[in-house]
Amino acid sequence: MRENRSLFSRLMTTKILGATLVGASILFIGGIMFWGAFNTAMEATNNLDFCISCHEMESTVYQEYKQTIHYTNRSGVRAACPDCHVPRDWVHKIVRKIKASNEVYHKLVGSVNTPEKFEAKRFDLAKRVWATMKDTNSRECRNCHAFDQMNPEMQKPRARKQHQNAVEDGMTCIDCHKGIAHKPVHDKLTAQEGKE
Amino acid sequence: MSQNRLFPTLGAAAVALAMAPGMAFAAPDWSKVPETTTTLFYPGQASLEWVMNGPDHGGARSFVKKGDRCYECHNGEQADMGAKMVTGKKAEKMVIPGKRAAIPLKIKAAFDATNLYMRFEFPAGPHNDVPFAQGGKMDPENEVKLAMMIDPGKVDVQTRAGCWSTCHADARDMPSAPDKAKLAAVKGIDTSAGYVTKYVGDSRTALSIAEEPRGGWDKLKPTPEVEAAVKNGAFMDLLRWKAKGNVSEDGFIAAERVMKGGEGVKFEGKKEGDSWVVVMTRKLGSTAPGDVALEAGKSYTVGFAVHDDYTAGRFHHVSVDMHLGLGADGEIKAVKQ
Repeated sequence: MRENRSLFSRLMTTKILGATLVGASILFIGGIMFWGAFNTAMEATNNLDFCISCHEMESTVYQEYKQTIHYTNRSGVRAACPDCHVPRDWVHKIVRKIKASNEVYHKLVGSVNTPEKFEAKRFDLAKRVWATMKDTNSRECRNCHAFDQMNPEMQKPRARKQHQNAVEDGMTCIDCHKGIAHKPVHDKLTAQEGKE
Repeated sequence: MSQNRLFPTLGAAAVALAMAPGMAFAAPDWSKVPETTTTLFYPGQASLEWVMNGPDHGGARSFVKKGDRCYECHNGEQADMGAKMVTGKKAEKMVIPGKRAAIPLKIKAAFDATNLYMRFEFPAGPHNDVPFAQGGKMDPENEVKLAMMIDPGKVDVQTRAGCWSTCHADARDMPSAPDKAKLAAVKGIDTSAGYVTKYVGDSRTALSIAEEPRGGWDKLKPTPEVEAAVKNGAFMDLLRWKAKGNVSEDGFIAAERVMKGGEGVKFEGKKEGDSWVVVMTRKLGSTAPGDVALEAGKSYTVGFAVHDDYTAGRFHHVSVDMHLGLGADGEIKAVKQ
């Protein structure tokens, strides 16, 4: 009994990084709860339904995307909005989410809060997405696609030749695959922009 | 000064040397000649400038920087491309409702010591009124026309683009076609018909690929420079058959399209059942400017076009560049008789 009290007493007086065991336990459990809640909130904003909850997205890019192979295809694999537009790894995902708060801001202040305003800015917004994908070597595309996993024999001649050229010249997916999931506006690029 | 006058001897040569209807030749036994089938497709307004401009054409880089042929990427998908353009989804603002997206073309080729022989067969199609042509027919006299271009093999773009090397954004019914009032300002080409015809890029000082106005119709090189370019292979030999009267034309494209001047081609064509069958006999050798002198053992870039359903100008169906081998490699192998 004395030994038990002594053990209890020792536990109560034990400090972890300056906190008592009880305090550390509370912090640990609280941390798990906070982390879980944070991730839950982050994932709640990281799916197709959330992305198209604004009608300027639902009535524009979503309708276009539904006509593409990334929405429906032979094998039933779907790449939804975040698969292409939000990084998978945690650090880059957090950075993207922080940047996305700017999109909420512009929704609230009315810069892009209607499909018409979105259309007016579509080309500039698309250019930003293309620039990001170029900077990251099409990181989100490569979550699913990779040159070394392609079977050229199963590709059409055009794709086979273009991919061969792309590998030779160190190109990245977005160099060629602009406008594949939404209305193509890359024909507005100048020749110089098109090369960049 | 027209292209005709660039080569003052051509008119006389045409009269003296054009194959007479009764010219003797030994047609091959076509049943023993292997057949190649290609797909002619509706090209819309996809000019050479369109081909070379990245925002227009995803393969521009492959063509301009990598030196690829059109054939390498596009053979096998011609019908899909034609469907996009004939319906106005891509590179076409003057849609002809109901028009075919593509036409399969069967090709046979043979040669002997004197001539190249070719046999073409393609299915006849339905009639669809052209909304912007009087009476719905652009060329009411000719239900069909068939044309073939032959590249001399000396100018890189021509060897890889075939007919596209002559098709520009400022030609008739193309997006950058100049106003008729401006046409007379450029001397040296015949624009009296009210439009710019096909031309090869080497006849111009520059081509504008992306910036409007695209093309280079008004940047004509001085006549001596054009003649020098032609001597260096900057032209496309052009052979054409018209259904009405079985008319054979032997011309070329350099600074402009000229439908005469070659040393002779003879077409015979007719509708057999549901198909058109056209047989061509063309002398191998020629010294006339605008003619490609063909040699056994060599391959040549060629292209084919069919104007079906009384169409004219750019409203035709065309092939991508193909290689015709005279006893040599090529997608079309001409067999020796």
